[in-house]
Amino acid sequence: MNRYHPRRNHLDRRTFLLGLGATAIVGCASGRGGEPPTFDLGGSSRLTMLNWEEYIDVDDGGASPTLGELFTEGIEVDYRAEYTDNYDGWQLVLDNAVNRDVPAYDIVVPTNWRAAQMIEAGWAEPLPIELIPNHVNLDPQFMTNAWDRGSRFQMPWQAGITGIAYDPALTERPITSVNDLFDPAFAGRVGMIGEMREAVGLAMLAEGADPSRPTEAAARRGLERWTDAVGSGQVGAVTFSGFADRLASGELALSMAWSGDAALLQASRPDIEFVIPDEGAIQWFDTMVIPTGSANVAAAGRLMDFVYDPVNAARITAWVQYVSPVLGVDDELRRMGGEAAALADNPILFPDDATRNRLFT
Amino acid sequence: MSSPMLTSSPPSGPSGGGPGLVRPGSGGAPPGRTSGGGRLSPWNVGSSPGWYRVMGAVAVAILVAFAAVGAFAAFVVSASGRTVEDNVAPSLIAVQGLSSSVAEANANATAAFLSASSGPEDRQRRVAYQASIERSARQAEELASLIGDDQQDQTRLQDVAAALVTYSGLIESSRTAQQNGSTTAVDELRSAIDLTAGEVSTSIDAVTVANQNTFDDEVTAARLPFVATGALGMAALAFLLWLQVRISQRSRRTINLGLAFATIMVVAALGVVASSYQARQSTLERSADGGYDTIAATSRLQTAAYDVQTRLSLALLGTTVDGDVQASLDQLVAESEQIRAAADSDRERAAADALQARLDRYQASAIAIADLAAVGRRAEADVAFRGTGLSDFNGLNMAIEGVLSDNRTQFTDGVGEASDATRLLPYLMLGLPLLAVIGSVIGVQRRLRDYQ
Repeated sequence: MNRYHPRRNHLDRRTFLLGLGATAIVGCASGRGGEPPTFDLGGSSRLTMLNWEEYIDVDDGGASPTLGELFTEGIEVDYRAEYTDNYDGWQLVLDNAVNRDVPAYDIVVPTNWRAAQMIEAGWAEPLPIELIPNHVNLDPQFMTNAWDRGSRFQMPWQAGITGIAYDPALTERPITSVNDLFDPAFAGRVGMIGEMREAVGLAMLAEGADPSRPTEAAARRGLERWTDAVGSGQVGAVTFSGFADRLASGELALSMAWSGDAALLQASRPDIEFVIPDEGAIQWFDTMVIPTGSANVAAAGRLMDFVYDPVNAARITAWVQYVSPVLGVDDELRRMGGEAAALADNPILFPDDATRNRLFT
Repeated sequence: MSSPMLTSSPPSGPSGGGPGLVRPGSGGAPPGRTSGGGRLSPWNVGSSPGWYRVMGAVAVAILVAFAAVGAFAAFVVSASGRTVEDNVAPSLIAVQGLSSSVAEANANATAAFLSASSGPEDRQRRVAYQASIERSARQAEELASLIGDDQQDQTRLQDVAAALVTYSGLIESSRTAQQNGSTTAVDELRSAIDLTAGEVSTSIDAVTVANQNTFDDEVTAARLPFVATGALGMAALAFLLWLQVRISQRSRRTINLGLAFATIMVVAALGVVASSYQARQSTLERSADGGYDTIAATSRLQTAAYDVQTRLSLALLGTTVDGDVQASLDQLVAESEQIRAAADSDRERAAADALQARLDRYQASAIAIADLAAVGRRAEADVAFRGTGLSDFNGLNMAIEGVLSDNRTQFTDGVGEASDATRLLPYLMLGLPLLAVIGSVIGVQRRLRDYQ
């Protein structure tokens, strides 16, 4: 998910590992949501996880120190950052579901709407809740989805906000509205993210519609706005996470933007602004699903329980800088100190109640 | 000169007036008296064949009675099982759902009203209210179709439906009054809440109790039919065993195959009766104890949680209804303890633990909000109510729905299993005893051939 990675200038490996050590000490002393229950791993202790790119902390060797701790419990995680997007990456999930008797993956992390499709198709195992006591730390806002009330089949990995990032030096004024993306003054210098639900959703907000309760007419109007914008040359680039590079280079003045990528961009370009427009923004989340037929359900459950411990969740958030679905992560970041502590006050990572009311899923 | 030859008179059969030599294999039955025409009646118990014929008829009579009573009882029990599966169990679930939906409508209506008192109406709360009141009406209709001909319950549900119409009218009226700035808006809102707490709640509770009694009656209804069937079966078994002992004493054959077969069929039928009864009763009792009781407790907890939300909204509006937040919170704790005690699997215990954790958070939020409202810090209380408080309530509600979902499945699966345990019983209770009849007839006939 994060292609722009300037953090190494500000959070080098030594600093990170020192923080990791402090976190481990704190983690031992602090209370956790629940001691991991003893369980029978059942199948192999080698767990395969398909996730987006750069969505977990990694060391110089490309391994994840956080997930590496699971090795001490006999669980080896084969982590594959091959889910490039919800189209090409989705093909891997389809192959997994349709063409194999035993899935190649024990956990996949599609975006929420793809997870909903998996559940509807019967491709998702019920989660072993009894092995995930830390699921009580799940932020309730992620439990009320109509397609999986109570999170019986999926648990969020990270959440994000699709808003607008812009360079004030190029826009020469504050950007506050979705309609600014369609302002002819910025023709050819507007970036669009190629995720239909997010793009059309934002356009629907600009039209005064509610993207969480779409009607065909409202969705059509939203789509038409983007069709016209692309056709007229208003949109300079259609990307996924590539908007960050284009903003940094000045090719784009403003763009639809993912909050986490924007936060990472701001680490090297603090002048870049990320805003949730007045009309609101789109919230999404990428979520962990155990594909049907996995032989490692117990181990997958243990991994979920592990990442739902606020201590471990904070370590992941400090790296990926998206919205954690785990309650208590802000407190843990403060305990980590340094740059991690500063993230606890970042309104993009921890939107307040007023901001949440302007987010649409 | 010839020796005199010893002669013996040829053996003669029984004849009137004197003992006759016994033919080999004929048993030691004494001769019967003659009938008026000089020949014995085939049904004369004084003669061995006649005695066997009568005993055979008795065996057939008992076995036919066993088949008839058993099949009838099995049909009755099987029908009862289907009634529980198709009507009673769904009614029990539906009535709990109705109670929660009404409480949910209250919580959403008051929250929407509260939001509109200081800005634009919270659209999500408004939509949630509309969904919950529509669901309530639908559930009342569904319940009415499930409970069948019980006139008293039908009347109660009609009262509920009528009250819900009045209730929704009061809510809309209060909303309009609020939009117009009328001072009566809060009073109308409170009247709506009082209506659900009084008339609606009383009627729903009565329907709940009636359905619970119906369920209990259906569970115990199987006892008498099974006992009667078992008694007849035992009588048939005893008779067959006695008859076989008598036959083996009088013949060289230890086992009469026909009667032995009949005995086995009777034993099989008794076994089927016993195992079906045991399976049905234990499954229904387990479903009630493990499934339905937890459903009831969880539904009450959910209703109480919605009630807390309603009372908090009203407190923030500067008004109250009978009862207080603490009493509703106390009920939450009590129901949660019951749910934890009833958990009988790792998954249920984990769900109960999660429910408790979410409840602890919600309790803390609710008490904090209530305390702020009590000292007049309503603005702060309102922020907390719509933010962290609502989040904690949603977490609790999702945990509740998880427990409800698991237990509804457990209850309906158990009821279905109990029904399945007796589905084939009528046919087995006809077939097995009738096979026994055939066996006993063959067995007696075989014995009678020894006299021919």
